[in-house]
Amino acid sequence: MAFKKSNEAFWWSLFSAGGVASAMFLPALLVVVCVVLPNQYLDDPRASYEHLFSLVTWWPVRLLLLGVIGFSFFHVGHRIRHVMNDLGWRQHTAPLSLLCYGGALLGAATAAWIILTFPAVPQ
Amino acid sequence: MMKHRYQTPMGPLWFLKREGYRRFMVREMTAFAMAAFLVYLLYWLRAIGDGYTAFVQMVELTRNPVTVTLLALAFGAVLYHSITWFNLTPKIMPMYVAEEKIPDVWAAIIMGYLPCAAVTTVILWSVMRTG
Repeated sequence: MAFKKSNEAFWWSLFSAGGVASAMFLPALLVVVCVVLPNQYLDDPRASYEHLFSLVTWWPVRLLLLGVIGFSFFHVGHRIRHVMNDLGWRQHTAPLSLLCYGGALLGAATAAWIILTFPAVPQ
Repeated sequence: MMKHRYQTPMGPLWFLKREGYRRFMVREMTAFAMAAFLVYLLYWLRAIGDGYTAFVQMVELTRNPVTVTLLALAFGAVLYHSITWFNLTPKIMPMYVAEEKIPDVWAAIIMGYLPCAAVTTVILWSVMRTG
């Protein structure tokens, strides 16, 4: 029996990288945006913003955020593709892959665009 | 996938049949919540770049009860993903000391839970540090 050539290994590697990145970082990021920022904001909104701005625009943090968000998008794209397959979309492989990986690419590219074009000083 | 291959007929709700299938489906479905949270994170980053006014709007949006409810759901999904991922890691990458296999629980702590706790501590400390 001949096997059809597959790109599964490539997509799986991105899925796996995103799985690790999201498992490690997303719980903390969720606590930050849901709990820390709204509470910190109550004390001194302007100082809270400027501290956050200087933190997020520091280059190591920018690259880390880009890596975490970019790989995580490919992780969820791959997972959604497989689960939709399992739920009966097996007849629509091509459009489903295009939607999932295209969406992941769009998400990662948007993240790159936002993160790489931060202004130099807080506005 | 080969064309014209026989595929076992399955209803769309096949995963309800067994406990294991149901937990599998819950884990896979966390991907939708995570996708939504990633998009929400992009809005946060955009707001931080746009300036103070946009930041204030984003805080107000986050304090909205509807957003709080959605974020609570996302938090559950993200935690479920982290826990299942860390517990899975030793099954894919077993750890050995000399020729002795480390129990999966310890391998999960060493490769998953401890690094995650460290990362979380550093992130929270960096954000909460003032001055």
